[in-house]
Amino acid sequence: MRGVRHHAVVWLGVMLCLSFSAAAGEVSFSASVDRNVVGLEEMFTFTLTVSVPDISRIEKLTLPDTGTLKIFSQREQTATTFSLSGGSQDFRRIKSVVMVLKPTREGATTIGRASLRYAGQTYTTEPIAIQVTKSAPQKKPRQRSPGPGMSPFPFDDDFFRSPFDDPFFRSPLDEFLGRPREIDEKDAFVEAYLSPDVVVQGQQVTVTLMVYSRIDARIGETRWPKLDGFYSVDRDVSGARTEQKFIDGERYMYKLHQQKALFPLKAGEITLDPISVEMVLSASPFAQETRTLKTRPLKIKVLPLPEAGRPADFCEANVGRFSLSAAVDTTQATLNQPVTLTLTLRGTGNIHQVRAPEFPALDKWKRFDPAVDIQSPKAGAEVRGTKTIEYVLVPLASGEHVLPALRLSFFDPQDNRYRTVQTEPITIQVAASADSPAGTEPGREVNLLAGTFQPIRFESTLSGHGPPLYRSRAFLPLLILPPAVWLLLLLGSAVSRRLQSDSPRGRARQAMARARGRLKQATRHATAGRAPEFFSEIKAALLDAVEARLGASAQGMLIEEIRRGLSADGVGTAIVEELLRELENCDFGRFAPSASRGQEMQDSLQRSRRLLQELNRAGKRSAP
Amino acid sequence: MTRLLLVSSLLLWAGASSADDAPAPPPAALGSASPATRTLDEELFEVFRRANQAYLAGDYAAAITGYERILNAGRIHPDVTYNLANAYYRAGRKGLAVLFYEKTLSKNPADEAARFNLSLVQKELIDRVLPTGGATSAEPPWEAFVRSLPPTGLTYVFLGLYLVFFAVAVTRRFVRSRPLYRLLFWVNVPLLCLALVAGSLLAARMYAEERVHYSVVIVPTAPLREGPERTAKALMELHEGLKVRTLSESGEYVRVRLSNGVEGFLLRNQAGEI
Repeated sequence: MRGVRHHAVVWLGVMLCLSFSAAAGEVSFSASVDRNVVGLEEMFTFTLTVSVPDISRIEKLTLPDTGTLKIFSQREQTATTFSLSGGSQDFRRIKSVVMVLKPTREGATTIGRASLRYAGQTYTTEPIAIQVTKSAPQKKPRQRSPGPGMSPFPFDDDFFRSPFDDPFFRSPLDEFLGRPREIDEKDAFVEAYLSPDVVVQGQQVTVTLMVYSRIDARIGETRWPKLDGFYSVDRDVSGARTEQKFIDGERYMYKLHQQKALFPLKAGEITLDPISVEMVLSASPFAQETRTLKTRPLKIKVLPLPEAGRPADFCEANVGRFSLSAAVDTTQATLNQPVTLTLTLRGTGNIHQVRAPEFPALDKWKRFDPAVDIQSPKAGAEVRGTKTIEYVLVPLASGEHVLPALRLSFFDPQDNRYRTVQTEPITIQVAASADSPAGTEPGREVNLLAGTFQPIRFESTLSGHGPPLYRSRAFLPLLILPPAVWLLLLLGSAVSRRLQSDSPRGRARQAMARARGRLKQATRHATAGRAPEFFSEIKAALLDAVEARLGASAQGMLIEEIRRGLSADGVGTAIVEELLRELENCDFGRFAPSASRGQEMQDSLQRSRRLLQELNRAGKRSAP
Repeated sequence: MTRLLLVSSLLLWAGASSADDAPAPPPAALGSASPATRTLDEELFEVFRRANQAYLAGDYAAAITGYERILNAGRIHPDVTYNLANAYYRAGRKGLAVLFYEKTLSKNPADEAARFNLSLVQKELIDRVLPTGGATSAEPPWEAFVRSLPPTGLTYVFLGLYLVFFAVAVTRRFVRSRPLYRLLFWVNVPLLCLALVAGSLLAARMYAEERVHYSVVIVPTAPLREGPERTAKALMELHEGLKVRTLSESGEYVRVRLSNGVEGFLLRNQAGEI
């Protein structure tokens, strides 16, 4: 579709320019070739273009005499264009004749004049000189032969040439107006090539898959046959470009589609089954067809590796041409510190399978498994690359150590013989520690006591490691019991307090507590010099003390009732009398505040405290 | 303040007791001294001795059989699981070796020999879990910390603090001297704080032990599948010795999570629970 779109753009450009040129004159008639110097057997294109307002008024169009140039193919195209000039529309018909010409003889030749008779007038083109050389010349800009009335409009030459130079080009107008072309077997095909087809076992065979088409084509899935008996490596051909080629006089576009490098694993004659490629072919946007194209079978002859001269350490995967080198990251090592030995294998051949020499186990070195890295570019037909093998070696003894040389034997198919390459031995000085340089204690070994696997246990109680303590049955009671006891205590205390508050003794205690509180309040009043409030609190405190003693409220009792009650309760007469005097004193202090002094309040406070203590202490308490 | 202490202790008690739904220990673990038990002990000691001799002679299969017999008798002792792990390692069964080293450490987190041997075996394992933004260790740090605490020792510490706290609280109820009453209050405040810390650690340890389970791949290769069916797509292939978290069970499969968060299903018989 991209090609069709490109052609459409070019075609529209042609139509536009011709319409402009036609606007300059009524009739445009021109002839052109895509090049003036051509090689023998090389085809080129001659194009004759007529632009007229009314194509029906063409009376005669005479094609030129091509002389020694053979007409290979010829086709005509017609199109309509219009242009706007000064507000008026100008419709024009364009007719073109495209001829593919092929020289038959070397030397100079000429394409004669073409003539057009239109509306009673005759137009002619100029002759075009063609130089035919033996070999194909370098491409040069073509020469146009402008006809009478043709405008010398500065078009890009390649742009103008493109649609007409392509003998298989079908413009969008072709597709809409003309009949779609049928797709035949010759429109597209695939081919596979072997290079070379006779190899020795393990040598690379390159299979190249080419796709050819002379119509629009899109490549779908590609299926390769089973490649049993080969080690296969895909090659990167993404950079391959589409090119053109004439086959049996037809121009084809072709492309290197895929490429594989095969390394035969065994000798014998091997037939590679056809490779199939699915292609979507389209001769027009409305005539697409999917076809599966297949290559012919390929035969590969694989020769066995020669027995003569085969080294003892040769491995059959080592076919190609390789070099081998070895290097260490340091030649001044420290005991128990790792040294990295890098073995590098470079060359052409199956770098993925080539077997590098293995570094031997050494007494005074600990060797770890190597890390292997393969770098092989995918571009190019030939498989080549670098295989790097990194060994980590740890010196177990100090002194001078020599890492031995390593050998690699391979079969070189170019020279058809076995070859062996080897590295140089490497000397490494190992110091006992970072502080003591290597060589200071030559020959002395150090016994390394590293951590090792811990042995089994021979003594065990086989008990005492049951389930965790929190899984035992005692755990939950142990959790619940302490807070439960504490809560019970709190509860018991609260109940006891409640019960006591309802008893005569409880009430007496509460009354006495009230009396003490009032005494504290009276102290504050005395300090502030508030005599009425002081004596009022003192009197209330003393009455509370009497209530605590008698078990009944003393508020509203007569003096005589208090005297009798207290005496009956076993309180001494002196205390009772002193209490009654203090009560009178309080009344006096309350109602005659001017007579009260600070000292008098302090004296009253002391007396009251003593009375409270006496009442609380003296004799037995009254029963309810 | 007294009420605050009361509420705190009640919460502590409730939190600790809620996790205590573990089954009762087997009778053998209680270590009664009946004649029958003594006979069993003697027999098991003999099995242990013979298994050790088989191990030293290189007959690891016989050693494994002996150690497993002791475990099957209910004596899940770290010395036995440790020796069994060593025997499995020598027999080339790295997955089972990792499993029993882990069991040993779950019993006794302070077992340095088991930890060391486990680290040696882990170096030889195939699987290395690549991080995907999360932790690279099989356990989150808090879990690794609480698992490193010895459960019995932690329980003793907690119970000691707890009982002393309540003993002091009860004593205060009977004290008449006000200075002593106040002194006991200030003694009880740090006791309560320490008991709360120990109780929290114990609760976390119990949670990790009872609710969070880990397994070890015990077969050479085990496909980790998208679903609990043999036809489910295999996400990846796990190799023996890899420790995974067990999330749930579904038929013959267990749902597991790798340390990098990848989840999938393993056949139950391909993973041994620690």
